[in-house]
Amino acid sequence: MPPPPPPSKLCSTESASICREFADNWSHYKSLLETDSEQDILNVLNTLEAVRVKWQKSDAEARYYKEKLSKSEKNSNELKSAHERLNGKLLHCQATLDRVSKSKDAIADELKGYKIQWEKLRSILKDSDKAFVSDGLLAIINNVEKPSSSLNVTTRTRYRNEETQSTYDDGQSDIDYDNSGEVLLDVSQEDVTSAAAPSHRRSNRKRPSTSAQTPKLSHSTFSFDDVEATPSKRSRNIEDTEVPAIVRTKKSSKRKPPPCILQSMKRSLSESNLIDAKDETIPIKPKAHTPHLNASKNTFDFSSPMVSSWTYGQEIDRRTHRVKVFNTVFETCDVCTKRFGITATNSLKCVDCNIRFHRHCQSRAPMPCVPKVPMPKTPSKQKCPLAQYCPETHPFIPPLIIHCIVALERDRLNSEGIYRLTSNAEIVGKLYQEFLTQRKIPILSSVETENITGCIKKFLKELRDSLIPSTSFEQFIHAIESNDEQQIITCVFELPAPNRDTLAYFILHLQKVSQHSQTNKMPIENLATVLAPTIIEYPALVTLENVEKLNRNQVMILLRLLKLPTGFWKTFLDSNMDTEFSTTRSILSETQTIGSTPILSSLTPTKPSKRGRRSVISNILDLQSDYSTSKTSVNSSPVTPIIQPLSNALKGMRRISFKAAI
Amino acid sequence: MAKKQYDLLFKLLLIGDSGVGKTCILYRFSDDAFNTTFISTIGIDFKIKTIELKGKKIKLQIWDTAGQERFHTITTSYYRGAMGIMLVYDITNARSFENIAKWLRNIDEHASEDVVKMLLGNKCDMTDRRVISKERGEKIAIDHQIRFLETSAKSNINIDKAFYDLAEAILDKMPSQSSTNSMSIRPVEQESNKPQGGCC
Repeated sequence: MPPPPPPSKLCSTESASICREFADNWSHYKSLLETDSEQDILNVLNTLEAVRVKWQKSDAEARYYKEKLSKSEKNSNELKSAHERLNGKLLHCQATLDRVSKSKDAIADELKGYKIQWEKLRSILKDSDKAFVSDGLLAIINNVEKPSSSLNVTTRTRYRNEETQSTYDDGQSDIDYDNSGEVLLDVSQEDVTSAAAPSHRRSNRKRPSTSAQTPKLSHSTFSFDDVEATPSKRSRNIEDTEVPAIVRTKKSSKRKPPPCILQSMKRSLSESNLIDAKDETIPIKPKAHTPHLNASKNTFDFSSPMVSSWTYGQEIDRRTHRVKVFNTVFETCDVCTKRFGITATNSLKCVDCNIRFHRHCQSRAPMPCVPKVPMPKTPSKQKCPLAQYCPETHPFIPPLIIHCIVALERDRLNSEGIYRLTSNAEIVGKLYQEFLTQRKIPILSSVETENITGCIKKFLKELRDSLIPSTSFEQFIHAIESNDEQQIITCVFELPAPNRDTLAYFILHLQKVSQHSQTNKMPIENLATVLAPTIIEYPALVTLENVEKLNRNQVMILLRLLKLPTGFWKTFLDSNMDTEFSTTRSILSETQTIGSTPILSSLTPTKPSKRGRRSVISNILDLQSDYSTSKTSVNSSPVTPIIQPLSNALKGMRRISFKAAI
Repeated sequence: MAKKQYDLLFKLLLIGDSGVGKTCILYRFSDDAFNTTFISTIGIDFKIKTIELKGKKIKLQIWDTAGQERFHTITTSYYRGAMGIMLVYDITNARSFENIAKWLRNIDEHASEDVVKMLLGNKCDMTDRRVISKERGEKIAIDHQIRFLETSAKSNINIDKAFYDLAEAILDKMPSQSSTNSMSIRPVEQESNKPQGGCC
């Protein structure tokens, strides 16, 4: 409703205009109010909202694209690196290819050379003694021909595997070539023994690989020795052949005996043929056994292939009792000294050392268990030989010695002047008697160190013959004066089994004692001085004139024995003689002290007739070490089968040589 | 003077358990040296030293035996020629003292009747490890009527005195020397820490 017009009184032009203006405004305002501006605003808002949503969407989109971008960037990076890698590979491949082609060329050249040589030789052969050798040799040459080319390839590839140097191949092929030439020369010069030079060895080294890869070849080469007997068995085409085969032909046509033996030895060894190695050892075995045992002047028969040792694989100083239930009422327990009583199942007895104890005392039973040896029954005033104090099976060590040494090693190795200080004769005598006569072993924990060592000394002194008997004295002295380790070892081996085992056990103990020389002041020199007269018997007659020299010799012997490696002495305890023959050798070569002469070479006899063998052995040794060094790089199958038979053959050789030495 | 460089030759013998210091005593006396290494004697060894006593030059030939039981058979063969025997024990080792009786028995068995004996308790410098008192040593010496001294080769205590005393006793016993000399064995007077007489 419009406002009432202002009173006329007040109406002037001015006010009228103002009024009009106001009315206009008012109407305008009214019109404005009437139009739906609300709708407009809503529209605006809607638009705003839409814009906002759109903006958000685009924002998300942008982010998504950004992500995509980074991803693709990464991808591209990866691709780039892969590309680089591949590029590198490509280059490498190219290089390898180059190398391969180069080596192929080299081989081709070599082959050509061989062919030329072959042609030459064939012509020579044809010209010279066609009449004699003709068929058989040609047949063999024929046989060899095919694999021979493969031989070259195989050896070469093997070398490539070992050392990836393309240049090496060429040099290698040269060496190979020269090498066989050298062999040829050597043979023609009739100087076979000196042919075992390093160069020769290398040619030797190659052969096994061929024999492994192409067994046929090795076989044919091997049967070569009986060429004359069966000349024309195989006759095929002749084209070209291997150089070793040529060597052979020349030789058999000229002179056979020594080189043939040598070569055949080598061959049989390099051949991966286990049977061969065995064939060589078997016939020799009994021979080896008898002289040794004859040397042991013994009333006991230790020769029979032993019943297993009483240690049952346990260490001597830790051997446990083997108990069984035993029924008694009146006897007393050896551990707690109480009666067993009526509860008979309570009592146990060790079948070896005869100790008796309650079931619950078992954990406290004295250790170790050493089979009881009955007191030797001999006419009075007569000393017993060591064998009678020993168990019936390996290792032949008297229980007294074991118990005393175990007690000493438990906690007394540091006592000053051990083995030197004088004991109390009475206590020692009592202890000694107890050990030998009583079922229960004396408890040594309360006995003074001097008396335990005194007991050991007394035992050794009371033997009919010392550990190293008078009959061996000269032999030992001789061996030591010539400073020949091999001879000393032989001397030890020739001792009777009980003496040897006991000596080994005792010396191992003394070596332990000397390790504590800082505290006990008993280095091996001192121990040798103190114990030499106990361990080593005087040879025959002792006079005031020679006694000094004899004493010094005794000390010298013991000192030298104490210096032998621990591993050597351990073998005697670990294994019986049967196995010792083979194992001791290897152990010796392992535990050998630096500076002394190589044992293996010294083990082989010095007889000239065996020279060849020795060189073979050393060759084989080198060969083997070669293999072991290259083993890591060459893991192709052909290598492994060779190594084993080789070592077998080697063992066989060792046996042979050792026997000969005895 | 005479052609010979000495007037009399005395053979002395050192015996006792192993490790008591027989060799050390001998080295101290002959070379005035002491070696701490612990080395056993092989069999038997001897040293010579000439001393002057009562205006006479006396050559002492001193035999040093190994204490090892196993050597006893050898060493006992040297007893007979000996004019004086020094029996050594170790004051830090009871066993060596206990064995004196055994050694004395040995002497009775193998040595000549009129041999002059002397008991030495060696290592007397090691007071902290002493197990045999001086009184016990003196007592056993009186029981067996032999001379007694406590010595130390390491600190050079009574070493020279022991040898001089023994030489003097032998000299006194010599029939030609002094017929009036009584055969009675007198206990040793208090020993002084200073060695008596100079050595040449």
